[in-house]
Amino acid sequence: MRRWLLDLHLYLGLLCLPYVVVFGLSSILLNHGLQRATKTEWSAQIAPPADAAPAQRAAEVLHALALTGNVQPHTLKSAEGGALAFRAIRPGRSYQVELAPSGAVRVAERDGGVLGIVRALHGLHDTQSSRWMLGWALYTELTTAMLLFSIASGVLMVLQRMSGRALALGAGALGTAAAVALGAAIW
Amino acid sequence: MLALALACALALYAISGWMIIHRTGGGEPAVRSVAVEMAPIEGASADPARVRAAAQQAAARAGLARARTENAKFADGAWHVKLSRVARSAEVTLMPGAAEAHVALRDATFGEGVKRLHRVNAKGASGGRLAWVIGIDALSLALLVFSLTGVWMFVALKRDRRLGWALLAASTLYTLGGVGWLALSR
Repeated sequence: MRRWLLDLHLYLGLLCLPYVVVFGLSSILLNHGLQRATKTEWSAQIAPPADAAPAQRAAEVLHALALTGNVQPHTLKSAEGGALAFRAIRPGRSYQVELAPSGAVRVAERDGGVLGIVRALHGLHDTQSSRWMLGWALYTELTTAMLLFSIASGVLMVLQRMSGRALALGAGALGTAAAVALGAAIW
Repeated sequence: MLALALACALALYAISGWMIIHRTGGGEPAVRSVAVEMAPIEGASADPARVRAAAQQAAARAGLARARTENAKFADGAWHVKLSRVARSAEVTLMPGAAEAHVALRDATFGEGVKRLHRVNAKGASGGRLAWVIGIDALSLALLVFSLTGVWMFVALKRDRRLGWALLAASTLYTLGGVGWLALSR
């Protein structure tokens, strides 16, 4: 049994290694609130989108501006005459868009750079923006399952070695107990 | 042995992360209101630091001790102070001249509390929170170290490494390609 367990542990681990590195780096960034963004504002002129629901019009505005991102439904504000304002986000970047009835668009862009992207990729589960992000959502699932499997199989493999069994059990129990106790203390 | 201890703690983190991305374990908080006897507080002219301390005292008596406390605000003829721990929060209302404080307590469900634990960060952390934050850093570093030792273990154990290198190359290309695409596209 140990052979296939070790093979699965190794090969799944190699497949998910880049995600695990992203997980590790982004955890540190998120934990310490490390982020730096550059803000720019620009304007453009587009053909005003046809009369439709605000969410659909927002998607058309993004398309006309050649931008990709998820429109945040709670930020959608439409006014009579065709004015529209909304916020769209994508990993590492956000756009605050204001459309005038004439088709004039003003965009306030916030760019978090590569670090912003790494932060945003932590557990990202966006299945709609693009095929790559759908793939990343599946990769998130695979990596979470792999982490749990690798921990369980790693403990099992150590336990199979007679000499380290007691110590391994003790260490695993200590780590779990320490996490639970610390969590309970700040609960 | 340290690796095993970290790995087991990491498993709890992975489970709470999975709960967050799948939006499970939520639920409405339990809300209750408690009246606590207090020394009367002055009106808008009172020292906000004193009001804050009084609110902390009232919250502790109502069952919320050692909580993060926001600044006291005077509005609608009363002082309001918000306090929070991971799974329990409160808003204390102090009416000027009144001998009691009203504490509105909100208790998150267990699942919601677990998800909030996952999101605790270093901002303003002290005491137990600081220890938790250091623990998260240790887990994050463990992830990076496990990645390196995993490759080392693979190289040490496998003679035929073609499949392993192919998997690593494909996943690295996919990740770097995606990050590059996100950085360069709009």
